[in-house]
Amino acid sequence: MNKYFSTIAAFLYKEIKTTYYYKFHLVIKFLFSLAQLVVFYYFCSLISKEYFKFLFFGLLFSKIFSYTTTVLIETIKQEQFSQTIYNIFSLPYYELTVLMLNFFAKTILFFFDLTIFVFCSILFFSIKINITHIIFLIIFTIYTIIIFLWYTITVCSLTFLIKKFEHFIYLLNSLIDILSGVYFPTTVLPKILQNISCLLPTTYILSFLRETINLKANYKLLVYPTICGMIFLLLSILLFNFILKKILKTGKLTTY
Amino acid sequence: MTNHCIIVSSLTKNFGRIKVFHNADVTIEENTITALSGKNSSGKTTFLKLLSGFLLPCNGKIFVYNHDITQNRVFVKKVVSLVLNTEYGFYPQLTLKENLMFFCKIYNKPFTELYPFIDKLNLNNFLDIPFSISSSGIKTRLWLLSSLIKNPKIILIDELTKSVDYETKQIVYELIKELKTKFGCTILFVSHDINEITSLCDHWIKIEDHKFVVIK
Repeated sequence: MNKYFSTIAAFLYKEIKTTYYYKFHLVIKFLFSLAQLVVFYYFCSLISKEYFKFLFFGLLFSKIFSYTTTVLIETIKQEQFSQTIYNIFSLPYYELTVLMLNFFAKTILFFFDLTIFVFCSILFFSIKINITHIIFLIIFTIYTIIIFLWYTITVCSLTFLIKKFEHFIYLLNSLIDILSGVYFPTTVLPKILQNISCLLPTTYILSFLRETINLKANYKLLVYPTICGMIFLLLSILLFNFILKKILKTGKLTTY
Repeated sequence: MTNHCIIVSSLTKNFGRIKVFHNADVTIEENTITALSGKNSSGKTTFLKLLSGFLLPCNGKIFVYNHDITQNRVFVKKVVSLVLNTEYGFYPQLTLKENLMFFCKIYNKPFTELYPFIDKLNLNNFLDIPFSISSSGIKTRLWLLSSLIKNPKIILIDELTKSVDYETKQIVYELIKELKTKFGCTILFVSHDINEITSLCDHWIKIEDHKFVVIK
């Protein structure tokens, strides 16, 4: 167990050093997030204050979902590009274990990112969040990350196989945001899109988040995403191993 | 009695229609320095990648310390270090020291244990330089140094001295000899330099017509 912790610590060390090197980029990222909130706040104020609260939790969920689903693609892309993939895949673990340990390290930093986002909203956009909400949000974030691990593993397997696959995922994630009710309630969607929305686990998790914040927690909403998450996780690991064997024969593992 | 740490049997490797190895056999003795040579695109780097688990054979078996690499790649990763001749391979924005610290943390090795090797490779004055702006010679030495962090039993070196000056070459040769005599490592290095091969190696293998030919 100790060796896993030391590997996570090493990845965390590398991430902190890299983030420090690109500190200007970090500031830009923060300002962009803030600008996005300002624009949404302005448009929401034209409708109602309650709508901004609705949208804020949608954006928060979208941030967690987008991080979870794209972080491994970004990691692989960077490691392949700088050829550090030779060094990190030389570590004495299975490739998926290396990626997951890297993922955990990045997630620790993501929590800082999320904290800044939430505190900015409290300070500048009068979002009311108490300590119970914060504890709930931490648990909710961990749950969402675990439930969508299958998605990130699947996407990362396909990234190995199909180069530039990430562009498709960014598009797909934007559609999922719309269909899950990040920006507006799913009830305003056309009937056919509402039916698709009902199939997406993200719709249920986002509803759960909003209902819990409004003190109407409905745990039944989590049954479908949890079952999907567990089944797909097993399938995604099988897919990863299958694709890994394939690309180890073609030599595509280390090339971007 | 001779101990073979690498046994390759009936190895076949193709990339689509391109044939690299066809029913090739070779063995590599433990605690020796073996040179591997061959024409361009004959499969030298491919062979190193096969031995380090970055590629899988199409047919045939490769055993590293009696472990089949297709069945037990994690074992291979524990005992084999791959040293590539590339301008990349480390985090470009991190300094040499930070890159080395990253691997030291992974293998739970104190950085101070690297100092004798840092001295030997004359890297003391370059530790605080970002990898991206380091010269080829420094990058070469960093590759070699980082490969030692996991205490490997087998070190695979791909044309390491191709882009380094005479002095650095001598330093690298000394270290390679020391790795064999002091640390009991087995070294397989790719080279085209006949002088390098004859002065440094115990054995010499050539790749010809998709097969291994033992020269020495």
